[in-house]
Amino acid sequence: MLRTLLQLLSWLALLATILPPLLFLTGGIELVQCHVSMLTATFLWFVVTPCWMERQSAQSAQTAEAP
Amino acid sequence: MVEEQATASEEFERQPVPARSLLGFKSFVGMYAGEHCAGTELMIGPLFVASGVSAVNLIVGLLLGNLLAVLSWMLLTAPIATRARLTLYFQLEQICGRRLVTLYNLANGVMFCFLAGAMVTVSATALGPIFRLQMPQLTDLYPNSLGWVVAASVVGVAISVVAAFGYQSVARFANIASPWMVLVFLAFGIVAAKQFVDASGAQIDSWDSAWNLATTAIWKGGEPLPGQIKFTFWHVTFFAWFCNMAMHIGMSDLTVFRFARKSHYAVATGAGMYVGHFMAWIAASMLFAYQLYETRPSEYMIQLLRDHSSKYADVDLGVLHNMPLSADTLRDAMAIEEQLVQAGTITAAQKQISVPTPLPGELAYNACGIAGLLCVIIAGWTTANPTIYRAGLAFQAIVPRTSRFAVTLFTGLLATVAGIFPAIAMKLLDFVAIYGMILMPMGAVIFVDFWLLRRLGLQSSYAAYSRTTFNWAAGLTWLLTLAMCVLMNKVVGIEIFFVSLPGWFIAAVLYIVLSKMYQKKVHAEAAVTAAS
Repeated sequence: MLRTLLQLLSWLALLATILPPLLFLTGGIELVQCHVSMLTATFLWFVVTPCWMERQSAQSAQTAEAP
Repeated sequence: MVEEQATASEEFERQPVPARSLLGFKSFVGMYAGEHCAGTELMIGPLFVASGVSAVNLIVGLLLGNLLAVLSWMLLTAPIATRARLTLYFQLEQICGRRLVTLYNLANGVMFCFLAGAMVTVSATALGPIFRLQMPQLTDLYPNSLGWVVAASVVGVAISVVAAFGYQSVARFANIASPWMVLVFLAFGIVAAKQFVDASGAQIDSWDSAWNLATTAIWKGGEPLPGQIKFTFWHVTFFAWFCNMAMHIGMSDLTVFRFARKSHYAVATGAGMYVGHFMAWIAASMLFAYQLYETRPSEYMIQLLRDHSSKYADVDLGVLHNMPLSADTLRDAMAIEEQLVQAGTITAAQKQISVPTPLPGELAYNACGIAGLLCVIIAGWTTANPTIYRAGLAFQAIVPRTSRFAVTLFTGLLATVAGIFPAIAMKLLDFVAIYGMILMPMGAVIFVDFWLLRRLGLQSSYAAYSRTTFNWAAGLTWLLTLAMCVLMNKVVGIEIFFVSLPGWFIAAVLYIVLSKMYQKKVHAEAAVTAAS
């Protein structure tokens, strides 16, 4: 339940990262508001996402290999 | 998925990856999408604009070049990776022998160091808007201020220490940051598009009007900025195809795709190419195009042009003041200054005309504020981290007794020194082409060794078979191919962006011919030794 809530918040953070530039494009908000919204969304993403995102991926398979 | 994660951490450095450790398609999509949205994309996109690329050449060139890159992974790298399931280094050791692989590691490590240096440079530009530092110029090869040296040193040392202490933590952080970074890159393009619409006063109400803005204001084509070479459709295509040449044609990603269940999973590289090397490059290029569009000639430049060039003498002052700075105007002004220096009217130190410089930090800040700055720092940091780590691994293979901590720290400090010099970042297009060219011949050696040698009656994996530590056929193939590429570039005049294509075929033919001679010679010597 908590994990689902955190994931929902992360999705909202991503939405709040891309929505302000789109609103700026359509003339809905000013650039300063866009900057503030994006910064808030960034903060939310980096606070919430590490709590649930799985910590390993194929990347570790690539980068951890020795020559 | 849990099982996949558990097995992915096993390294299988000197044995084929077992079936239980193979990974699914999704793992590769995520990895490539994240890895190719890096700090350097913020330099490459603007450099396209500085090279005078036109809209159609950029978009069609990137579509085609990235498709060729994906096909290279699918048709060259993955089929070998999923059959042999070995790391690049172990497979090369079987073919080339321990000593030749050591040389390869040295070249690879040095190239990784320079690449990480460019990432340090990109990250350090984010400190410019915060501390009002004097940043390097597009034409600078050396650091131009103490502030820049301090900024690049602080960023480089911080990245190095973190890479030495906590590589895995940064790798995890990179995974977390990746989806957010992709969206911030997209935001760069969206904000820049709106800024162009506002600045040009264009009415965008149809596809045609948007395309008209793209071709007349954003990617106008024409002459490149002074000090840059002109990029045509073929330059863009070949750059997009070969910028990861070390990974696909050079076979570095054998190490990645040895974990793939199926060879066609290499299509996942398309996620990296079309997100990082299409969307991100286009977005980053728009940021610099907007900076150029908004830059007006200074009073000094206008005076210089009107006083010394008949071309500008009769142009209305108001027109000159409101004219976006173009490559032609810059060249004219710089040529006049040079003439004045040669005539002794002014000294070289009194020259004031400088070329607008794409500084990722400033560009990102102007578009997306502090979130943009954070994106520059994080994109540079998270991609410099594995690059320094990989360079460290390559060097550690040469001096195995050194601790991984010490060698990673040393490598990071080397990258920091490289990052202080802006030349690599400002000449990133050329550097990336050279990087691919240097490692490409070994990719051709692996391809020929795996698919052709046995069919031609020769022994594959010859170093393992003959227990030699230096397979001269492979070593000479590498050196002679590089020599031929340099000759094609310097004597024939084929640009560095294109030489790797004929270079690959030269390497393939050379390796077959030299293997035929070398294997015969070694067998003959062995027979003589046995007889005596």
